Amino acid sequence: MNILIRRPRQRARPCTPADLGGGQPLVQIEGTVRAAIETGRSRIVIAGALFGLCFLVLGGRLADLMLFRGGIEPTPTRTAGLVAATGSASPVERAPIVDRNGVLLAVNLRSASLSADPRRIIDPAEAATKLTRLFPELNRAELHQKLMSDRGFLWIKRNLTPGDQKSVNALGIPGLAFHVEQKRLYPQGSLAAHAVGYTDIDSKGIAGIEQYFDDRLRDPGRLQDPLQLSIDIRVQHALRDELSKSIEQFSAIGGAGLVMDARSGEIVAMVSLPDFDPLSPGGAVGDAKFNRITLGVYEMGSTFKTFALAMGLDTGVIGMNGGYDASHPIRISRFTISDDHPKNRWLSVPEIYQYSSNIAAAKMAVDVGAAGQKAFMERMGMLRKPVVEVPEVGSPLFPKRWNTIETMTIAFGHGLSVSPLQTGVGIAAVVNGGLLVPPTLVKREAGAVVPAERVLKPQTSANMRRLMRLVVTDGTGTKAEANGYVVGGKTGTAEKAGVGGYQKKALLSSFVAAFPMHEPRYVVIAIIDEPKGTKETHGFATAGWTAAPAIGRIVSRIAPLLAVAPIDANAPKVREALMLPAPAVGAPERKLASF
Amino acid sequence: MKRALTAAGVFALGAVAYGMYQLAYEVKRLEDELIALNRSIAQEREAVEVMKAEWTYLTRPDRLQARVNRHLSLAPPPPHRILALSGLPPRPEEAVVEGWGVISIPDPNAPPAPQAKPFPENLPLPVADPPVGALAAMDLATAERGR
Repeated sequence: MNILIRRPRQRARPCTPADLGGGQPLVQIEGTVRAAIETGRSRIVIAGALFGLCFLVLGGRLADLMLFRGGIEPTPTRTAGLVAATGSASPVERAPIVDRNGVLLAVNLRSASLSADPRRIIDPAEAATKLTRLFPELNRAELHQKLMSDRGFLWIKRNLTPGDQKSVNALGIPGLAFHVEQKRLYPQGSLAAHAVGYTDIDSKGIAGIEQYFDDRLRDPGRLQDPLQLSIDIRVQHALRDELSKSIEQFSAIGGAGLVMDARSGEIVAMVSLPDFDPLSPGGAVGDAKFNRITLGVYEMGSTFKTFALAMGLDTGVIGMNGGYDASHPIRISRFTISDDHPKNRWLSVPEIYQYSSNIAAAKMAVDVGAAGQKAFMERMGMLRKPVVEVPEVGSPLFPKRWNTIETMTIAFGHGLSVSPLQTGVGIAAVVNGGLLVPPTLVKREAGAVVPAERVLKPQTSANMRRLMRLVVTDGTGTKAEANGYVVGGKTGTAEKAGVGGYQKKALLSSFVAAFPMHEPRYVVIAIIDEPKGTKETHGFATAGWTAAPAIGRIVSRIAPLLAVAPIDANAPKVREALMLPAPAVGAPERKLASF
Repeated sequence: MKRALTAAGVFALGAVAYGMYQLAYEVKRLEDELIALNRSIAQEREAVEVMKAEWTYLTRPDRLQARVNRHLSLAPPPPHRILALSGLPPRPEEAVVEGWGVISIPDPNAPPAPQAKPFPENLPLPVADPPVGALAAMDLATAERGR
């Protein structure tokens, strides 16, 4: 080692960069060692430059964070994962469903289930006593036995209410634990069960709206965005309440009701009785889960004369002043068509509808012809499966061969089975000026363009409104009147088809109505399945005695909820809109039977 | 001079290190706070959802109808009682009230007259806080009575 070191001054400090670098060389090195030192020096410079670069990058990043990105707070969604990881909250798995006013119909809630670790319970007897006091449905002895056991885990109660959870916490028993689970709840109970439907235990929709909109309800991007239906829960309740009363009064086996906006096709209420609790659909008895409005198809009976008359008037086969001879029953092949309210004379068009004449309706349909009637029914949507936002939709049943006899029976509502929903859509078209509007269970936004198809002339619709009003003022449906709301409609009493023909005692009494008749806003349908006559109805179970009074009560209840202003039935505006043409004096245009 | 520079450097280093630690801890604290806040927001939201569901459950129409039928003598308004605002009769300027004779009804657009306070001002206020336990005792008494 041959190193020469000169120290100009003794310094009690470590070597500094100045010592190594410029200025006077403090250390003089020679030989091979010098070269080694030089290499070291250049390495230090490179390392320093690298460190400098690193610090520059860090500084730049710091400036970027502080100056340019500062102030942007992490949004709750960005931290949601963080929160979820801590186990305090998990996102809902299914979007809520609300009615047209925002009232909850279905919602996912986290519910706590109570479990126990018996090994950690200090006083099983006391715990059992306290818990049974809180949940009287638990068996104290059995619970005590379980809590004494040596197991590490046992369920005490699933799906507690928040109130119960609080009470359990207040008991302060060690060894109890809550487990959070998600549960689909239906706060309205069975009220709108058929429309809303229900889900299985995995929160998958398996009926009604829940099934139809399953993908939309589970869409992670729209979980906070409720699905708004056209149902109004208050109207739904009024409809269900009044139908239940009628079913009870007439000891019927079931009933169905529909309230629909005549202009927009929105279904405001849809009831099928008996119904079920969507929380335990498995407990539904009999056909409780069957939706009579959309899935059931029925021969609607005389309510179909509305379509027969509309067809006659629209095709020009007959005018409002015309009429048919209904003095004799029609005999065709082995059938006889007669009237339930026989007048045994010539009937004018308003009288045909007013007294619900099968004979005249049949004759009118024959005049239109089988092909014309079929085309008309097709246009009214009676021959195709309607489209609505539930999977339970029934297809209409109509005869393969559509000849004279089928034409006659379909005119008064036998031989063609349709769902009450289809009937409602048809009636809406008859009263709203002749536009067939597709029905919907989803709320239409105000001002939205409603897809509609013209199926009747406005004049036909105006005439049909007059006829429907006449049925309530002077016809078979006088009990359907609701003071102030100008109800119009048509009764229909159909004998249900059973084994070996029609059953005289098993009736399907229905009433299709619209109100207020001078400018209809809503279509209401009430159907009572197999009503039995009572003393008050003098033993009658026909629609005029059973379904019509229900319509009157329903309209009185729902009209104020639907903001329909009451109006005097004799107000000039109403009279003008519903005035029937005066019967021609002298000899009216008589049209006799065409065969 | 160099000594001072070094001292300043060392001091600055310490200060920066301290500042950095402070900052790091502050950020950590804020993050914790954020997580806690987000958690409580989520909890509150959930509580709101639960309460909405509970409110809907408690105000479902059939339950309300049963209560109204039992406790109130309300009936649906007959149609003649539903009027548009324009359908109201003009406001009378005088009215005969039994026991009061003819009274004049003030113009609704006139400035309001000075009114008496709804509660007397000279009501004695409590002089001291209620003794500890008194409120609980009161609750208990109410509960007892209620039973």
